[in-house]
Amino acid sequence: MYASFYNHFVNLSHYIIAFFVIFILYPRFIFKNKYDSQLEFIISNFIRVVFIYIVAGYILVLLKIFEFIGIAIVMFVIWFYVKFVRPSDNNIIKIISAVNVFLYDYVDGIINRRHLFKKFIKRNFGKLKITVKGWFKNKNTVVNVFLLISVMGYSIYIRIYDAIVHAAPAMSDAYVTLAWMKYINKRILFHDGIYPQGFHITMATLQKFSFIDPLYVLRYTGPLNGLLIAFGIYFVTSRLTKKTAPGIIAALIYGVLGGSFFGDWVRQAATNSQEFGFVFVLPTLYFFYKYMDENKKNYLITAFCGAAVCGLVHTISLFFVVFGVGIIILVGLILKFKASLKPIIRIMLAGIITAIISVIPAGIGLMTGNAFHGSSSDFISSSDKNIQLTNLNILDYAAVGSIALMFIYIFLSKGKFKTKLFQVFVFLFSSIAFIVYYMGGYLTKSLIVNDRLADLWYLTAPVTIGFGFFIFLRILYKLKIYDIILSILTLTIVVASINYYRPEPILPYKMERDSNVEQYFRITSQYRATEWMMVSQDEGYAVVMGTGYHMLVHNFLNAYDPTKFYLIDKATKQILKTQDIFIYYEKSIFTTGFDTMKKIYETRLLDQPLLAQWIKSYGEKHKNLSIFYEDRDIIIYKIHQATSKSDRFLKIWGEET
Amino acid sequence: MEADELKKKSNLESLLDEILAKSIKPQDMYEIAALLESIGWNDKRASQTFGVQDIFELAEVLWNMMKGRASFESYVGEEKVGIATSFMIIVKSFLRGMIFALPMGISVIAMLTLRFSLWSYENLSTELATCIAIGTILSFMSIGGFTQAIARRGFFYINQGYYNMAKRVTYYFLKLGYLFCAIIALAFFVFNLFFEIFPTNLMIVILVFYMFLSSIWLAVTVMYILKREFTFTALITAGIGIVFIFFKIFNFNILVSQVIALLFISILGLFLVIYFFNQAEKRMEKGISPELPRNSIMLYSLMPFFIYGFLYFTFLFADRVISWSTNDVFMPYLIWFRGGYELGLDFALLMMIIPLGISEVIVSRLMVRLENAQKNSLSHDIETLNKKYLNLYSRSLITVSIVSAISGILIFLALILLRNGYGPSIINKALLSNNVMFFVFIFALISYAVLSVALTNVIVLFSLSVPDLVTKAILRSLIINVIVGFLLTRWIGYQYAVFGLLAGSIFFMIYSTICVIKVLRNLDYYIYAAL
Repeated sequence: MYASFYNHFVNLSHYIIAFFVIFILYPRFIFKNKYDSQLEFIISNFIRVVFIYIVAGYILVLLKIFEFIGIAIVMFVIWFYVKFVRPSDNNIIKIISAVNVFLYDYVDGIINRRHLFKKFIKRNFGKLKITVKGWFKNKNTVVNVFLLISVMGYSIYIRIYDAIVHAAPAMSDAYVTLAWMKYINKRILFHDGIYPQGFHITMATLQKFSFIDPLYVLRYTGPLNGLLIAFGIYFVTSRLTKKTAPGIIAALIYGVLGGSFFGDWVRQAATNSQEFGFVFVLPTLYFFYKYMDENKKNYLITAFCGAAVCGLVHTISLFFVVFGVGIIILVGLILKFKASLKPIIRIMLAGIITAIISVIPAGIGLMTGNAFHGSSSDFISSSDKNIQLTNLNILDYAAVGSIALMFIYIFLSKGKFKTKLFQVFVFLFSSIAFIVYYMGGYLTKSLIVNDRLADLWYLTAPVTIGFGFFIFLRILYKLKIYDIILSILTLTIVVASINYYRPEPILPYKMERDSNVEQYFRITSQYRATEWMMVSQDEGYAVVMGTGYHMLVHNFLNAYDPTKFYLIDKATKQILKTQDIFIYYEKSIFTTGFDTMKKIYETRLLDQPLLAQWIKSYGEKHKNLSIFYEDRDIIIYKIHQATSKSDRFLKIWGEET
Repeated sequence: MEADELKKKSNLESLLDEILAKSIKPQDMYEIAALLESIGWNDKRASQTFGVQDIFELAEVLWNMMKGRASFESYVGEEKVGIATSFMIIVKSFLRGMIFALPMGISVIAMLTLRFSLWSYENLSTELATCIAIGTILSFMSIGGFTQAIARRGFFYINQGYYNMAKRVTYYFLKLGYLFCAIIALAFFVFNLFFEIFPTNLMIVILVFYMFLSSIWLAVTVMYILKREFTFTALITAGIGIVFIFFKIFNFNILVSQVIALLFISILGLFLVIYFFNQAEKRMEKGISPELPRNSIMLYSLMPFFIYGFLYFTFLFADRVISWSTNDVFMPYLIWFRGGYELGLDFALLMMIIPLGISEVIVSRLMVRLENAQKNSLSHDIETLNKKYLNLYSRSLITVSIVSAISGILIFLALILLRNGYGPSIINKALLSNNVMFFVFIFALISYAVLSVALTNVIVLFSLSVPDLVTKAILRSLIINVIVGFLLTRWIGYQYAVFGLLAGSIFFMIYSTICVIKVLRNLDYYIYAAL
């Protein structure tokens, strides 16, 4: 059963372990911790390592060696280089001799096993114990950790609910994303035209290490993207304000309450590259800001990697980063002109390299004879004369109010103007994002400005409100119980807002019934990949690709005569030797309200009785037809074609594979 | 008391003879001490055997004894043996080298005639074939290091007649080997539990074959050092016989039959090992039971051999793993067995039987000559000697090369004949008609011929106690094997992994030859170190 606890326990465990290993654990071995906090280190590592995986993924796909072993080799080579080749002090000799000494001491009984185990535990978990103890010493911290976990938990709950309960992929885009991920697995770039493949490469990499069906990776990754964006918002807000509470408020708005305010909320439960790009926008800007402020190279490297990831994943997220960086540069020039010149030059250099890196894949695509992805390029140029000013909601007003508070704070608070770098940055960034959101579409009449650039506001509004919250409570800053007030207020806001809005799980629209996909999983668990074929509608193509064969019902009807002893293709005259064939017959055709699908549904309606007839005729002439599954919407027929001994022999010892 | 003294004196005399056989003119007592240590003496053993305080005191005693001897031969000629004896030595050495490869040959023949062997069957499903292949490869890779360690150390003591020490050291490595395999099996199982690379039932098949085969390889190694080559060949044959009985007569499932046979063989193998060692120990002089060197010292000296063993088997199987992991069709698992590739390699591997036998003979003769030349040389003759060494070596290498080429041609012709329908009707010709198999067979044949020459170099380098060079060579060859194979399989087709094997083997041969030449140019140093 798809929705069973066991099924998701197994698949989610795989997914989480793989995510942990490749995005959290592995980078700790290759990057040095030069950051203010562990969290900063973890996020920087994540950004950098995603950049590495995408670049490596592109290269491996081009070289036709994108696979588990290929990726593992790249990871090993990088690790080896960082650990042993780059250090000047002949690290490898030191490590080898240390291992040897340990081994020899161990076999001679010099090392006590129990003592060794204790030492290992102490070294690896000692720091963690101290950190966790530190959290629980301060009651405010306990409340904040609890609140953060609750907000994140709720965020993932409303996003992942659909993926846990419903097997069918969310929204029509899911099939494209799934197919593109699988094309990467098949080492094919730009199958349907040039489009940034960074997200699909990242998902394919995750799939290689999780050893689960790509469909699960697709279903889990979308919700995770939303969670990571919310966490990024928390991270940036809490680090800039140096307080956890504003970060929690910001994360609450994006992660939990967004459904009541933001447009296109269903996308949060779907899996799209745009959302994956958004994961990196705010943390990248944070690292650019940190570089501008502290002039440390490691921040610039991370920021550059983040910008490059955006460029390689989704152009709009890169645009957001460019826009934010522009404001950081402007603020730097205004507030501390002299000190900013060097960092600005470096940031611009990083920008140029980012632009080049972002364009390279498209260049390769063009050189290999691909055109730009049709519907994406159409969308960029499309416009609508009826676009009006955006209707503002309570959240927008709260954000605008926060912008006003920021303005007042910048000019009225104590301290030199040039020390308020991040306040001025957030103020300008939010203000412009709001203007674009409010009137960008109206002024330009461009659909992309109206629909996509407005998304920047959805990212910045929570941060802005978090800042507003922080500034508002600065009045109480000198009170001894300031932190307590902050925690109590945050707790109240979290509880009250959730109670008031009662956010519910997101349920995106579907293109097919759950049972179609559930039965696909049943087939894959019972039949070997090379030995079955699914005959169904278009949606089945992306789902089945890479695990079995797929044929459209319409093509199947045209290709095979049910009255013949063998299934012989009328055009090629070849016998269909696939061992098990699963024919999906829809009792009532599944439809959606999309105009673009109307013609397709009409064809399906015409094919439906023909398929029924085909099955009837086949059943009369053959004895190998059975019903594999039936419910009130579909029947899945199974044709089992027994293989001969010589076929089996050929399969293992012959040239057939 | 007097009898004891006499015995001690006689033992000292024979020990001195042993030392003088290694070095005719030791320069001082310290050289004697070094030579004593090199043949396994330590302070404790010296003290227990001769009542001296430490090895230096023993060396001093021997030094004084040596000075007291009236004269010693200044020239050691090659031991003269009759033609018949010489022929028998050659045949024995040849058979010994060849018999080592015999179980493999028997397995291939069984597969061609009976359609199954101890761990393969032509009508297995690809899933099971994959599992068995993984279990087999893993067992070779895991045990490779232990077999080298056992062989090296076991021979070391057996050659000196210290069967008790050989037994203890062998059991120590057997224990380590079993423990290591158990850890690997457990780790693989737990890893698979999380990642489910293979379904649990298939995983169990992998682990069952892995454990049993590992156990068999360990037993086989011990039998080899005890010079019981025919026993392990018989053991494998018996195993196939058991499969035949259960599968053909009792109509058991093939997998069950094979597991029963493997279980039987591995237990029997273990008992035979114990039995043979006890028998051998009986032949040993009573009362000599010196302590083994410290484990760390033993491991330190064996580590290069251990690493070589692991790398060698990894090298041998790397191309298979690369080929079978090529995702050019739908891959249910990370590795997917391709019968054609396996068969090509198996047939080609038969060509190594003769060269392995020959190289055993050639290298042992070469070493004797080198040692004699060294013993009888004066320091100002060094250049002439070097030329002589290189000349001897070149001749040996050319001989092995020619034998390898001939062996390869013979196997090639045999397969051509079989493919064309000649040969006994019992042989399943259908297995031979596969073009991929033939493609792999041809290039594997060349690879193994080249590898045979490289292995001759390995034996030379091991004999001169320079295992580090061998380890370096095999590691680099393995990397080349993997890189070439990986790229070609992904770019062209799974069968092209054989070019990785070929490239790796060629590099191995060239690099190891360069190493041998380098060593031979400084042979005086290496022979001293080897002693």
